[in-house]
Amino acid sequence: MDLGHSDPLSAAFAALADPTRRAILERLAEGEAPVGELAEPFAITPQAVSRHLKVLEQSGLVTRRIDRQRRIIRLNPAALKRAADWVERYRAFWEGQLDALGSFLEQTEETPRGKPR
Amino acid sequence: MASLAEHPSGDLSLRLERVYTATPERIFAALTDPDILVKWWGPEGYVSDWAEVDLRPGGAWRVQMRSLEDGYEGVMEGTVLETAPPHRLVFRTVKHCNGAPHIFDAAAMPPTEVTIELQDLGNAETRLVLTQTGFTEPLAAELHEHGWSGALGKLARSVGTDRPATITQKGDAT
Repeated sequence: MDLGHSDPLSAAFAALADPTRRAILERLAEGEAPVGELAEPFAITPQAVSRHLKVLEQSGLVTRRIDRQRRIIRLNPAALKRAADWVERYRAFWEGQLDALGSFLEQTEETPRGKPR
Repeated sequence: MASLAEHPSGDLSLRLERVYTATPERIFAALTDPDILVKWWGPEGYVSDWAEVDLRPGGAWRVQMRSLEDGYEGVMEGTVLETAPPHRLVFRTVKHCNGAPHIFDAAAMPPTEVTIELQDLGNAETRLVLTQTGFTEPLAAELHEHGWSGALGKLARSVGTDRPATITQKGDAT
């Protein structure tokens, strides 16, 4: 990762800031595609397309695999993964809070009508 | 709002469930009475010195917490959206323990909606269900600002086929 963004989310947004890269991602949202096919709609050099793909790859938004010597590019929804990570941090937080609430309720039980187990 | 937030496949949410041996009234009080909140709030290693709760819609729900180890202080703050004592409390998170980096990186946390529901199971037992939604809205908003809302629906759908849209976690039902 050498985009200068330590935060993957920032790297993803930086990668998304370019219209050509957004168009490439839109195409990839329909399914994976070989590099040659991705380059077709754009009036830019194959080198320029390669550079865009490199930025997308470094941001984690796409991945690449080789199939019979063709480079196949695939969408990798890193940004949503990041959102999932937020959820995970909250989960840990609330788990702790609900545990603490449980201990408190047990310690302060003022009515002895809790059902024996 | 961009289409990601409108697509169920892009809407991440959190759901936790516990059963406590306590009445809904006791639990609701523990969540909303400042004098009681400070007695239990805070993760392991933290204590709470003060809390403020205004249960009217638009009111603030604030709890401070302090690290016993290094004195670090943070406040968790929400805006009350809806209450139905002793069964339901809904708030939108505004601040997340800012100043308590051990718990949260506050800057990275988007506002979300937290709903706590208390269901009376009889025999002084109560099921608490906590749901939190809205995690993807800031992403959608950011992408919208980049003028990319059109493709977002497609992206959300393509993601929906690869990942579970909802993360569900059930706590110990004891």
